[in-house]
Amino acid sequence: MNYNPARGVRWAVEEDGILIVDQREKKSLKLNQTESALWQLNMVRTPYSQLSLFLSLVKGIPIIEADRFIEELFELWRKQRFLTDR
Amino acid sequence: MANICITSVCNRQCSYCFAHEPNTPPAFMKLDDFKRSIAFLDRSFVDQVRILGGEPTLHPDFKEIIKLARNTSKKILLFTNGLISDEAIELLMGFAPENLTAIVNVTPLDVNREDALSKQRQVVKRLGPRAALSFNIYKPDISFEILIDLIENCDTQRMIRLGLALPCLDGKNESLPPRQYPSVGSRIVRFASRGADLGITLSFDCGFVSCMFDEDGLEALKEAKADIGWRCNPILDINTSGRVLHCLPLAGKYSEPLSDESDAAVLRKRFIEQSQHWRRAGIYRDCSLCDLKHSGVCPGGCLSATIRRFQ
Repeated sequence: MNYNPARGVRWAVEEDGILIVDQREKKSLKLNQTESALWQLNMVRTPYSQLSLFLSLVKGIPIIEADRFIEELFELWRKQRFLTDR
Repeated sequence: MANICITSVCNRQCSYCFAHEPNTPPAFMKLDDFKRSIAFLDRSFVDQVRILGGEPTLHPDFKEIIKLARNTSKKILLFTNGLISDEAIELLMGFAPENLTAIVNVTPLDVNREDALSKQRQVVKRLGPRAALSFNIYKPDISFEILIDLIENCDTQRMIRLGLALPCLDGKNESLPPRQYPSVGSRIVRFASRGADLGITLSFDCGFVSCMFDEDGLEALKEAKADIGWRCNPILDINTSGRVLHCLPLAGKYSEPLSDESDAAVLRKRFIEQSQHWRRAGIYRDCSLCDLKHSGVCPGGCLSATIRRFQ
């Protein structure tokens, strides 16, 4: 697996959205299709802080947690050249 | 249920084997750890001693281990590849069939196929009703012919343990890709129907999913009285160094040292809690829409295969 388990966040595309798993916190988060689409759009267009807010509002998770989630996802995606810049 | 893996040493090199742990050299379990494992089974009210390898008969203290297992008055299940010494066979022959079953994995490999099969045939024939056959499906173009041949000619038990080759989390073993499950499923159905005519039944190990069979196939399996089930629970494998694992494919992820207070039910619950966040998903992306998954009837296949689906 080309993944550093110390980081903690992984995700998989499901038929009805994206399932994000935080291994370190042992939590999972499901984005439905609309949220996933927004998420994927936002990923490249929206400033980081708004993304945290988006996740926090949509999924009702604390903003600090959303911050960390997004930070890790970005790092992961950047490593895989999925994202070139925030 | 819990398995005791007394050695990781083996005299075969099955490409699909998931009984190896990452970064762990081959080893034999110490007798003290085996005794502690037996005490764990007692505390957990487990009525079987399930002994695994590697090839368990290669353990230098195999005779002593069998003696210790016999003293428990639990039924012994020995998982072997059948390539075993005469001494080991003699030892097993000392048991009545109701007290010991040697589950012989006769999955043909691409190498030394005929030599191995010839030896396995001899061993299975000698063990007769003490032997039951096991077959691991690691590629889609499988043939079950050998199983019927052995059962008919060696007087073994008329039950076959059927396993899917499941992926270790490190991906170092060959496994059956979930996309090939449906084509394997239709072969299993045909084999189950044929076996039923001969009084042979199939028993599914973990990792099978309902959707690998169509409705007619499921009905045929029921008619064939196959022991079908959609399972992915912590089986609890105790490894050679005395750690309790969720299961061998997930060896590097969920494990705990075997303590003098360890209890199977408690450990199983803990491993399920620890892995709960993965259990929302399944081996297929459309598991997320499946009623059987949502209702808990089907766990969505092997957890190790599920985790490997994540990027």
